[in-house]
Amino acid sequence: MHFTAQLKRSLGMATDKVLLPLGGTTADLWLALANRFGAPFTDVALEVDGRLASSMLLCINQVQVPRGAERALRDGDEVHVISAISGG
Amino acid sequence: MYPLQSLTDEQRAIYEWQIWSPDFGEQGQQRLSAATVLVSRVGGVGGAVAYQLAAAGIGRIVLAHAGNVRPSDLNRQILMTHEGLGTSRVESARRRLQELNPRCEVVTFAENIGESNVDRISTGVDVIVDCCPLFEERFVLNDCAIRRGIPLVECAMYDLEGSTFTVQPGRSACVRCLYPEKPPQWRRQFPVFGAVASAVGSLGAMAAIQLLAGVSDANVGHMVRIDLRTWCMQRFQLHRDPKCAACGNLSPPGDSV
Repeated sequence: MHFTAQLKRSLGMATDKVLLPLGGTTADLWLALANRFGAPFTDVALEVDGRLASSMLLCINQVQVPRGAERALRDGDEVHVISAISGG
Repeated sequence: MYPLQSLTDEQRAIYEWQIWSPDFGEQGQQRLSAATVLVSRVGGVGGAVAYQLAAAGIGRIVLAHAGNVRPSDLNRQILMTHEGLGTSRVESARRRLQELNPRCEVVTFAENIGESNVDRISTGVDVIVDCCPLFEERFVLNDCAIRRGIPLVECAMYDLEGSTFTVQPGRSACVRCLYPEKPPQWRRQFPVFGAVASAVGSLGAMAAIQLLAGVSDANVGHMVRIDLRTWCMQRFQLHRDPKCAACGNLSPPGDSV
């Protein structure tokens, strides 16, 4: 896992490894992260229904995953959750 | 773009180091000299973009940014100076750019981009570079770029991170494809260093230069992210959203980059 910008700041870490059961999906991943980090993850990264927030971009192995799509994850997948940022 | 013109000896002397770049050459320089670029906001990122575009010999740069220089601008806004505190940001920017390159025409608007002025300010522009801190402005610029078919270079930063991607309307993901609504937790003020702003601005300027010169569109449809804590640079493939409110009605996403 790779976290960026505000999410990285909220979690206090940029990278992490997550173990999921065989056949785990992105929905399982969000649940695992919610259980592990609690509000610092859910408040920043998830909608109230548990989907990834619209301010986050999901990329798996450096390819963006369409919004709302649930993806099966494989061993060794590199997942980036990229926070929306701006100029200034 | 204005009609291409032969370079003068003075131009050759000034730009020869980039003219030597094999896929750029004199024709690339002519194209930059004939081009107009809108840079929205000339703060940390936008100031660096405008500076690099002026140095590279862009013919006309349009700057849009309201307000006066404040002390808290000076850690990152390289076109602003201590002497300029309390005076117009775009006028400070114009002065600095013309010190660097008096051949560059600098057009200034002391206003931030909004629905009411975006068409007026973007008229005649070949590329837009978005360096705005507010998503409301980014959406307005994005929608204008889509509507008018103008390539849009997006630049952003936070702390020691930065990103850029280029929108080719109808061909690659736009801002609303990636972020359909304003991020609720985004704040206008955030931690950042000037060196990060300049690094991101240089990437954005290079993307605009490459597009204008016809050298490369490798930043189209991809987001490049830098993290200056880990010194990593990564490139992510982006996809258009077929339901995008801004560009979903253009050519099918299947044709996208």
